[in-house]
Amino acid sequence: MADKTDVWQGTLALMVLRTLQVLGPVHGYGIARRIEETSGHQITLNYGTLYPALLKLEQEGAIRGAWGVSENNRRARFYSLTRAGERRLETETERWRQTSAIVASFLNPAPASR
Amino acid sequence: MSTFRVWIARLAGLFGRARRERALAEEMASHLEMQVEENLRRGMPLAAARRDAAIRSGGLECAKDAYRDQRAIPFVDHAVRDVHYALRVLRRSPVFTLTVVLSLGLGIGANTALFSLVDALLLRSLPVARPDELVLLRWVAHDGAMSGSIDGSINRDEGTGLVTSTSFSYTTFQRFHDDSQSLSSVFAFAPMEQLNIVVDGDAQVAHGQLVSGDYYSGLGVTSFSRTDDRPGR
Repeated sequence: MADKTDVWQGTLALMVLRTLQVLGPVHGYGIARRIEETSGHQITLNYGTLYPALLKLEQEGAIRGAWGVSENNRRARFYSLTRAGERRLETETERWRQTSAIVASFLNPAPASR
Repeated sequence: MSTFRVWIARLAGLFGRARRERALAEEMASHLEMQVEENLRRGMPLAAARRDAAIRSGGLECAKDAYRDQRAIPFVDHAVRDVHYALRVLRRSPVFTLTVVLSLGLGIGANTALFSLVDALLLRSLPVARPDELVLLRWVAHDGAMSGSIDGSINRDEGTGLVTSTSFSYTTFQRFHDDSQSLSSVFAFAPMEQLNIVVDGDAQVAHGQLVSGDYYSGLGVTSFSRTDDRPGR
């Protein structure tokens, strides 16, 4: 990736949804750390990218936020997947697999063409 | 459907700004603190841990602005904030505010009063039966041709040298009245400057107008009878 902080619009939503599916209810900091680690620290999420994306998903009804207490006794907002969010994760995962397969088939040189 | 939900949420985001701002500030502060704690666990000194956390945040105020743009409808939200700011500034300088409010009030009041007057005088038709059928007769003549014999108001146009007047002699009026073919009725009126009116022994000065007998019936306004202008009545 050219820029470490570059996150494509739309892929961040997918990453967030998947993170919530794997981890269960988690706060914004947890989501950011998980995405950074899963990407092998190729992605850094600052607040200005993460929180508007969380808010948009919440407005769309894919996730739901609720105040709770973290493992370190700190008040934080915990996000979790809604039913609509689970369905959306399913369809978007499928769409992303198709897209990347198509792009990959263009980029990988076919042995026969050599 | 999802777009509709988002706009409902954004409309709701216009209200309860103070509460939402507090929640946002708390959420981001808690995120920042978690990052600081993590850095401390990794063995960073406190100052470095704080600085690193602040750098990773990418600027809190910047992030809050991006969040606000998603939360509500940006231009409405900005307008609301501008109005709040304007009210705060006005409250700080009450004399200026009072001056502005008074001059605006006077200006609007004067305009309204003037318009009511123009409306009543020029725009609205007269309160008679068929105002569009009313005509006012006048004569036009070269200067000196007729004016000497008429006792009434005369206008002289300096440019053309013509005189015009709506005053006619009583004999002329009578001819108009008796011989008119195209008009359903012909009536006359003339100003009377001042009158003394005594009602129940209480004298008052009033302005009056002399009118001919067809005046009220011609206007379609019911009042006196047409024989009230005969001598001796």
